[in-house]
Formats: sequence, C-alpha cells, structure tokens
Amino acid sequence: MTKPHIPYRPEQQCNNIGPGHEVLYLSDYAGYTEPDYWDDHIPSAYPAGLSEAITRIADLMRLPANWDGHGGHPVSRDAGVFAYSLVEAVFSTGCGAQAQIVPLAYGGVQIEWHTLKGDLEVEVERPCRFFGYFEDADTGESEEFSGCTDFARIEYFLDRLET
Amino acid sequence: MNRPDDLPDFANPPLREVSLGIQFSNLGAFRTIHSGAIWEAFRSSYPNVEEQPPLEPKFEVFGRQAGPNMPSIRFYDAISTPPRYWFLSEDRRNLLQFQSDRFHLNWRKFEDSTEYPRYESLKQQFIDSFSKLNSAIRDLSLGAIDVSQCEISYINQIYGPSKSHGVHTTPGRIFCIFDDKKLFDALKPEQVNMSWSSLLLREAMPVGRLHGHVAPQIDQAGAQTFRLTLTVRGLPASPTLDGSLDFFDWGREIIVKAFTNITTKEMHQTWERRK
Repeated sequence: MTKPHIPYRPEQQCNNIGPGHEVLYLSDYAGYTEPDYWDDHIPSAYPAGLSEAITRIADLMRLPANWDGHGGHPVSRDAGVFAYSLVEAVFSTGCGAQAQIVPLAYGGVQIEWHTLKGDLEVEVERPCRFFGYFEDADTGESEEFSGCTDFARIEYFLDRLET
Repeated sequence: MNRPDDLPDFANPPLREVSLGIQFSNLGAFRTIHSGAIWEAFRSSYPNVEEQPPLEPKFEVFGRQAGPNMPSIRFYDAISTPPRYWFLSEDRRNLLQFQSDRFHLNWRKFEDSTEYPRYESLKQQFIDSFSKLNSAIRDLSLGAIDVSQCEISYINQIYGPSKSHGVHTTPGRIFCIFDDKKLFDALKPEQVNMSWSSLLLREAMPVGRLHGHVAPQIDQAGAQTFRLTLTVRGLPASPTLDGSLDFFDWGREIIVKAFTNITTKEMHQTWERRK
C-alpha cells in the first residue's frame, strides 16, 4: 500500500464551507481519515513507551515469511493494529514496565510485562480475542484469563505489577 | 422484521446516507486476483467497480479511562494490503465496499426526491449480499468470515426550518444541545462543530460506542446546512451474520433515539414525525 494522497480530513472539511462545496458522503471517507502520523514518522513528543510499541509492531508486520526457519508468518495487520490498541488503552496504568512485544509463528502477537512483582503475558490470537496469564512473584499465585475488547482484567494485573 | 413500537418514526427524515458494515479477521489468502470472482457474485446488481485505498482496522476497546485521544497512527504496509473495492449500482446510489477484512453496504441519496428505503430493506439487502460474499469466499477457499466489529452509520443533511434560512449561526433551532440562548448571545459563534462519543453497554459490559459529529456545510446551491453523522461501532454478541444483524438492530435503535433526542420539536415537525 502506498501512502496515498488524501484530499481532506473530515475535521478540516467541517471548516470548509465555501460556496459550491459538494455534499460529502460517508462512503467517501468512512474510516479513512488521513492519519496524524505514519508509523515511521512518530513525533518526538509522543510518549516513548507508545512510540517504541508502534515501531516494534510495525517491524513485526514486516517480518519475512519463514522468519523463524519453521514456516513462521509475519504478524498479521489486523492482529498488529489490535495489539497496538491494547497497548495504547492500558498505557495509563501504574505499571512502569515497558511492554515487550514478540511475534507468534501463526501471525499473532504476544505482549509481556515483567517486573520484580511478577509477570503478565497477553497473547493476541486475532482481533478481539486475547488470552492472558499472570503470575505473582511473591506468592506464586497464577491466573489464566481471556477477553475480547474489555481490558479491565489486564489493567488490574498491571496495577499489581507496579513497582 | 418489524419496527420496534417505541422507536421514533419520521416520514421524511433528512438522511443522506446509511451504512451497515462489518469488520472481520483478515482473509490471509485473499489476493487482488480474487477480486474479479468476488465482483462476479454482485455484478448483475452492481455493474460498476472502482478501487479505493483500504480502510484501516478500527476497534472499539475499553480501558479504565476514556480514550486518551492520542494522535492517530497508521501502520505503513508497503506490500501486502490489497485495495478496497467499490461495487456500484447503475445509478451509483447503492454501494458495496469490500476489502480483505471489511464489508459495507451503503445507500446514498443523490436527489431530494429519492425516498429512503428504510432500515428493514437495507438490512435485507445486507443479508442477501453477505450470503453472496460468503459463498464466493468459500468457493475461492479463502477461509471464513469471523466478524470482530460491526458498524452502523446514519449521515443526515439538515437544513433549517426553511431552506433560505441561514442556520450556521442559529444551531439551537435544529439541535437541542445548542439551545442555550444566553451562551449563544454571548459567544455569537460564526459556526459550530461538535464531536462526542458515548460508551455503550450490554448486560453491564462495554461493547461499543456511539460516535456523533455535527458540522456546518454548504450545499451545491449555496444553502447552509448541518451534517449530522451518528455511528455505532462495537463487538457483536457472536462473530456471525446473526450476531451482526443483532448488533445492527441494536445500533439502529440507539441512533434513531439519539437523533430524536438531540434535535428540536420544531424540526421534528419539518421531518413529519409520526411516532
């Protein structure tokens, strides 16, 4: 996909009320608003943790086929975008650890947080389907969980990892 | 498919476009060369085809806080993302949009005389089109449609009580949410824009959002109008056609009620409210 020239953004278009302006249809722009940034031009003011996650996920989407020597697929675009949505949504929790993001051979992605208090691993199998595993380093207590688009459980465990 | 009894009803709504759409797990085996066979399934009713840039995957997700409103990021994919295809009816009013992880049906009003075919009719069109798409994907051995997000949108083009009346400086005549005479007398706004989103719950769990957007526009004849876009997007109860239809029914009710609640009684008369 080439980076396309997009003639307007709806937010800008709202101010473009000069005479003769054509009525725009939703199908002309639905979901295709010009992004503020592409993954390879993240501004320096962007939160470092998110910027690193974007770069990492973009790299994983561009892995070559058979990247692991065992027929591994690159991270699929939709799983990668969903994984980033997850990282962004839980970014404001108290856990200060940087998310580690690793590819899975079938095209999924795993997001991991490790601190002295324990470990949290979340496997994004595909969009809107994740599986998690948490282990408390002090008590040895562990829990498996799963979910779709509600990340409350992930945030709960991230709070427990807070250092 | 009966209309719910408690749903407001307008004989002459200001609708300009309605869209029913699904997002599904990417059909990894889909290649551009398959697009001809998929178009063939729709070609008799949609004889025109265009290529458009692909839509980015979009997910309604729920963390502890409302969306941080971060700048949007697009992952650049140099090789593998096929385009989005538009299959258009002869009069271009009806549109199917297909890409390897999305399918949308759009109805568009081009002339004022065109009557809105109603949601129930569009839903049936979506069912028929989905069935054709599903068969084509199966015949091509591309996998299965596993729906991850559904989306229903209504876009309205709203004139003032009379078309000659400039409405950009008096939005309170159209929208209750701008009906604060004291505020507007003080601010004397030249124009008004507004966007909002509302969290939507089902069985006390967050599953989607209502996104609303109000923006001033000028029509082709130079008359002032407002464009009101209402979209409900989120997770269906099941990743199937039935789950998607259930989501559309739910989203449609939310949109129609929101439309009725934020617009004035004066405009309801103009749009010939029946219920």
